[in-house]
Amino acid sequence: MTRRQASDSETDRMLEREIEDLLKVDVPADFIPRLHARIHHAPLPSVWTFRKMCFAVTTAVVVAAVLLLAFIEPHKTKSDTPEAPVRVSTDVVAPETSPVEIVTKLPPPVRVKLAKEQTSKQKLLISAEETRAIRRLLEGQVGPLPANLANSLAMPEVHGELVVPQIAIKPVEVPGPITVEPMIVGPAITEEGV
Amino acid sequence: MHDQAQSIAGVLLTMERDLKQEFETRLAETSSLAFRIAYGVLRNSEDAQDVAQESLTKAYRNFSQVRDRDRFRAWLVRMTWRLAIDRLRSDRRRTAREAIPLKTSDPQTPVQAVLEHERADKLWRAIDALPEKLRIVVVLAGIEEHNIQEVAILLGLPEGTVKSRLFLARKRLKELLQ
Repeated sequence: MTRRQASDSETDRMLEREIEDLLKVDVPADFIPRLHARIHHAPLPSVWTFRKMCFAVTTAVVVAAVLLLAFIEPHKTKSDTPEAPVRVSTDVVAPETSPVEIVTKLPPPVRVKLAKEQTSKQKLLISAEETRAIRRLLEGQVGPLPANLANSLAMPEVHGELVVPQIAIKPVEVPGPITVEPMIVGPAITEEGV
Repeated sequence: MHDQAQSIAGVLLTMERDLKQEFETRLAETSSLAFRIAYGVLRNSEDAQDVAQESLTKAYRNFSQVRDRDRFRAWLVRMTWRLAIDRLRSDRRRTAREAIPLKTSDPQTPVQAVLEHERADKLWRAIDALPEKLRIVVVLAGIEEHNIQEVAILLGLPEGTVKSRLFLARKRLKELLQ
């Protein structure tokens, strides 16, 4: 260490000591009691807010639980009693005159049971003729189209060329020169009118 | 249900009591630190007390968020510094404060007392002339013999930054005092 470096570090130490002496102030004796008094009068710390919040949350949870229980209980008693099975039939019922059977290799249909009243009123979904047509289609027995249907679907034949007549636009004749005469304004009429 | 509510209330009360006890401990540890930081900026005991009390009251309000000892000290240091700077800027009684006699070590003679007073005054002026970044490092290093590591923790800065700032501050102070 050179002499200059040594003197520099000595000056630094002196400066440090001086600053420490400057800042070495004693806390006044009444500081802490005054602080306690101020804190006592200060708004409540966040722990109080936290406590209130916790209380509010707990209350809300309890109320929600009670309501939930009150709501669930009646439903639970209902479900305990045996209910009449609801049945939904997917069977296709054809008119008695033409009984039709649709045979598919799909797994057996899920039967959702409806009320008894509904089972008695089964609606006709597909007519017997449509059923027969679907059956033929599935079996690959599709024949030629009927003559009237084939005619309506066929494209019309074009005979000869299409002739578009020429359209000529003639200019409109103006009968004479148009003159605009200046407008003569009379004396101004005031509100009084005289 | 009633028992559960009672147990929750009991837990909350215990938490609150613990929190108050912890705050009292922190208060005992840091009240002088807050006061000295404020004094380092304001150089007036009354003003420093006001600022320190304000920052400690704020600390009390937010104590649940800064319970950790190091975090609390760092938070308090920055809060006190900021409040003291704000007070200094807004205070109209600055001239009156500077007229208050400065505290010096026990002088042996009146001449020595005057010399010490002049030296202290000059040093304060030099510290005041430092940029804020350097000034806070000098003040914190001068309070309670904080070392570089402690100052770095208090300011939330890397040790290298604190070291270089302290070096620069001392260099400027020496220049200003010459």
